[in-house]
Amino acid sequence: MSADRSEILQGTLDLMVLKTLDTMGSLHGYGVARRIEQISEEALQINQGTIYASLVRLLQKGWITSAWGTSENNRKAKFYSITRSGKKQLNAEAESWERIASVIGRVLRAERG
Amino acid sequence: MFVFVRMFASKIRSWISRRREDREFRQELAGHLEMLTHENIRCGMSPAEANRIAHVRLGGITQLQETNRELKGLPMLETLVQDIRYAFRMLRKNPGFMAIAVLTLAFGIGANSAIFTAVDTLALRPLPYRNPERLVTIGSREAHHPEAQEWISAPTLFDLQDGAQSFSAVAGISPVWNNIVTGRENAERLESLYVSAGFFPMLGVQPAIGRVLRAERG
Repeated sequence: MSADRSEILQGTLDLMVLKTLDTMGSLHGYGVARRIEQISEEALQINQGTIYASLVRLLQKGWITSAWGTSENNRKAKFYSITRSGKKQLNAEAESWERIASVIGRVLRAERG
Repeated sequence: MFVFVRMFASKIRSWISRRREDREFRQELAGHLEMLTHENIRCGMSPAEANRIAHVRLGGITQLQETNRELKGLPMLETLVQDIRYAFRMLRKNPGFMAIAVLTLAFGIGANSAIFTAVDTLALRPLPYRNPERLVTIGSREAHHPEAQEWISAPTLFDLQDGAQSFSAVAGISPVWNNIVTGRENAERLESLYVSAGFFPMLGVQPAIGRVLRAERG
């Protein structure tokens, strides 16, 4: 994937991961990556490994927690779930994201005159 | 702010158990690869092809581990050590510059601590008397002179002692200029004052040697 596209992801991937864990409950890294790819209808072809950097950042901020568990194919896997402060953060960020998006949308749609 | 503290604590924890975290991350990636491979096989790929594509979609494992370590490590600490080493190397190369830097620091620190010592004793530390915040000095000013004097006359002092309602005690002091010869050594000038009888009880202090004057003996 190109450099500038990964740059766009940097800021928003954390938010997408947080939202995914909020709707899906407990998930492992693979699950999070697959879910984001599916929801975006494969428009976002990320290196699935970049999910882990996002997960580490969110863990460090205390917005998600992790615990070892067993995956569907009976293998040890680390499962992540959102915390209460993570939900709060998600609400705040989603709101500010929508606000920014709507402002940019309005600016881009503005017609001459 | 709180998030920052939490992040720092988390980084320190990771740093302490970094070897275990490294191992766990390797396990996590291995599990991820396996799930990707399974999915690819389900889609009809040969096992070898499925494994190759899984690696492509996950990304370089070495690089992911490096990023993981960087995120969890304490870059502040590591760069700090590097900076200090670099600074020492540069200083060794330029002894003149080092001398100027050291002197500047020495003078700066010296001046600062001298000023602080003065401010501390003059302004910050309370006087070593009982109720230092209630102590005042009384001066006087003549009706037609704008300038205040820092002294009052003896009759005024007596009037204040007898009649002032605002003070619980009033004592007089007066400078003495004399050299006091101590024993057989050189004459030494000592700071001394004449004080009225109520002076020591007012301050609430006891003399180091001897006893305090009492009003009835004066």
